[in-house]
Amino acid sequence: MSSSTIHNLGYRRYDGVREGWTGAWQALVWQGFRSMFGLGRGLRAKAIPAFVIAMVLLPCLGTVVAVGASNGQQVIPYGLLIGSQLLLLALFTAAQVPEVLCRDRQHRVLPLLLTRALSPRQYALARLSAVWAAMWLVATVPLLVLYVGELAIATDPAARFAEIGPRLWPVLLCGTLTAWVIGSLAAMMASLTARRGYASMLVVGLFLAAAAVTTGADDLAAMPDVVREFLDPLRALRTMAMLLFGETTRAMEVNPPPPVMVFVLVFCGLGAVASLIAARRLERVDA
Amino acid sequence: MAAPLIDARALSRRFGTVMALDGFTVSIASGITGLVGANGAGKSTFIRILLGLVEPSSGEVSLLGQDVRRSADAIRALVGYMPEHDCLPPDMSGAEFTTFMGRLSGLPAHVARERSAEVLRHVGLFEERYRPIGTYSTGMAQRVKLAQALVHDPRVLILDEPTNGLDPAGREEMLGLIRRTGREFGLSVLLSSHLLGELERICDGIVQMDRGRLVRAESMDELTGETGDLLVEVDGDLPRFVTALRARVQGVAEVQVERQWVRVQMGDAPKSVNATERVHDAVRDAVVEADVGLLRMERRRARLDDLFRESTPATGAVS
Amino acid sequence: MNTTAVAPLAFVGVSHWYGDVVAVNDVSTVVEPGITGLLGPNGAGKSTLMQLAAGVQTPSSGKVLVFGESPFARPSVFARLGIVPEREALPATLSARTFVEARATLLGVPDVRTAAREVLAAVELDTVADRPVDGFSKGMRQRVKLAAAMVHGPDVLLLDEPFNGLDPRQRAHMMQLLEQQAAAGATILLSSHILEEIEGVASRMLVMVAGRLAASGDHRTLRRLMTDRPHTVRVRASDVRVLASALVALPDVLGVEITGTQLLVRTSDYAAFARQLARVAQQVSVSLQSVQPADESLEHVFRYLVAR
Repeated sequence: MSSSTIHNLGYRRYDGVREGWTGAWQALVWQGFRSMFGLGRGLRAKAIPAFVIAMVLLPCLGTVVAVGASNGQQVIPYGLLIGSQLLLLALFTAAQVPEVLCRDRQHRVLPLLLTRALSPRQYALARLSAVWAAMWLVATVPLLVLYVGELAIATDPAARFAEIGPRLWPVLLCGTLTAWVIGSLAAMMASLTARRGYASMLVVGLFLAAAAVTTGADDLAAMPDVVREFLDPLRALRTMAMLLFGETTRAMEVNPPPPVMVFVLVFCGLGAVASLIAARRLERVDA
Repeated sequence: MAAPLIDARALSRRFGTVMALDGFTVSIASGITGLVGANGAGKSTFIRILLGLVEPSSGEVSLLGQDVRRSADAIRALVGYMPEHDCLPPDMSGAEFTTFMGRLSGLPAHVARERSAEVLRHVGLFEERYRPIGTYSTGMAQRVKLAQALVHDPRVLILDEPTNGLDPAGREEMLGLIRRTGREFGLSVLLSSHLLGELERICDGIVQMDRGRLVRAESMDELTGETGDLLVEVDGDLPRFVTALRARVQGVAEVQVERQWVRVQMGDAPKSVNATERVHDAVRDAVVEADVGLLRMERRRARLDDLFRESTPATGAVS
Repeated sequence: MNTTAVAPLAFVGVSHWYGDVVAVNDVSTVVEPGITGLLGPNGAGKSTLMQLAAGVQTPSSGKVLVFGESPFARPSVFARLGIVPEREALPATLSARTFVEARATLLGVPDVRTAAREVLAAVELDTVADRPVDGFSKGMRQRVKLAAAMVHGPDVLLLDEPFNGLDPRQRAHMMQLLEQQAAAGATILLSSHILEEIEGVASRMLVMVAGRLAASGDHRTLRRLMTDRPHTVRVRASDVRVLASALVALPDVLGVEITGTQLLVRTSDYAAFARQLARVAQQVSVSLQSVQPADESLEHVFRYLVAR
């Protein structure tokens, strides 16, 4: 005869392992990363991310197919394609970065987050990391699609690889710097307010203002070339991409841009400053 | 003597020209403690300092023996916080949110999930937990707030106006939950509230603050002890009853009528058991003689309400 | 007792719905001068009833009468009403005085300055009346709203959760203010979730449950009216068992529970039991130490009404 027991379903203590800030960090970054793509919320939240991802991937896929069909007569214009994506990426950040950076403040969840295993600084970095990681994916994957596509359609992959193998580095560099610059600038603007709607407008505003100012500045002969080059970050990113892949535009032939190294340094600095500003604002506890 | 739960010494915090806390010194024991004070008395500042959200300007405070400034991380793991304001993201489900909070406290993923499920059961959220928090009623939202405060197995709960916005039934349930948390779950609770009646019902002790300082810190028994007076309420011929009673207690007690109550004052001198019983029997017999109904007979207890009013002089427009 | 024609506030068969949701369902009652509490669980229709009383909307069916007239879109009736809604955003940059004066002007008060000054003094905000409202604490904001609602000396005051966020002293102060108004003849309808607050200040209660008026009156009387629920009385005595066995013999006693030194007696007729208790105790020579009705509080009455 088996014995009967009534189990105690009362409150239990937890004496096991606690992961400290690493577990908290992981959870926060992962949740932020998912928010960047609208995952974990309704269908509408995924609309813009899906749209942007489709709009950056499809031209790449299309190009690969077209080039494949042309039997190697045509070359994949990396630089051009990157240039066409930049605006979409900016749009992406305007829509999604506020979701990650503003929600905690808007819904006043912040005190709950900061009374746990993360310091305000760690919190800020975790949120920013989610933004950078998502941006890196969105900026780099289409380029990798081009790269891998090119190898795949080649009649002799091995030979093709010997030809374009080293192109991987510019691809990664472009993707990384694009994500760094656009992501950080968007973060800087979005961290200004707790309201998601305003934050989106501020991000769009920044990129539009930069474009508008550059158009006007083009006519100002007195402006040093270097400044003019970098006034609009999106245009500067495109120029760098062109340089890296050996493509040019008429504008570039008229006004030769500085070497790639300058671009890299300026972008690193720009992103760093923007990120710092964003981080300082996100660290503030009193919201 | 048991180590105090919270020990504050000359704790001060200045905001601009305002001293939110001014040499606040108190020793709070474990159990359920109520924190009362006028708006602006320094309660929120004190709580924020305990939670590590604000640095004190001077003085020190320790929680469970750990200094708040030096062991901030250790303390975070020991404290669960339920804020007064709305603090829940509307698009996450209750279960998701509680699990997320568990992870943010450093619990491994599967542990966070399990504890979240357990804790949600304890606070009484069942199928609702899978719906987005935006669809919750106030009562359900308050429960999620409590759940996220418990998920990481803290030793101390800090609750700020936990019954805010709840209707009477919801209030009852929340108070019951808090009492269970203190008594059955074995946590200590620091509960800030304006509703003295509620505090009287569940707290072991009260800490009263005013203008950044301690006014008093006493146990509930000390504060709401029985006074020497007996209050009687009868149904029927009141004057006849009073006459009969006066005749019986002459010399031992004073009989006064206040609206529909009869107060029997026995004076402050310590009473022998016999004297008290004599008075009780006098009431009983007077009731029989006057042929009235005995609706109520009890020792008048001091109420927190009285205390509060007498100790905080009108500060007028400032608060 | 006022007839519906001249009562300060009367509801005659009032129902109100939003689409499929019936917020108020056939409520008929008269609110007399003095302080009346409006209670009910969340979603019971209290706020809707208040809005109908304030003339913000006209009921889907039935009539709301303020001194015999409907308050909807009638400035003359509006002038006799003062409302403190639960959620009211105060314009942040205005000073308290400006806000109150603006309200006074809107309502056609003859001497706006004086009226504002007096009412601000009554709520003890006179020293800070010229500061912008966004710097005020919750308690001060409530007082501004109350001042604005009282500035035109209304006969009827409607207050929705007015004590929200106030500390005990502020609450006591506001209750005093309301009692003063009531003593001067005002009719005050006060809705709150916090029973301990209402108990102290309201002489009559209206209890709403799911849109219907479940009960009205004084809570003690209501309890006695609930004859289908036995009363529970807690008795402490020198010898509980002896007393218990004597009490069980009484015809109205339904049951006796002994816990330690205390008896919990359930009786179907509270008044009769009250008469018999002392007699029985005397007969068996037991000393009574305390007698307390265990479920007569507003809390209990409310719970019974809501659960029905």
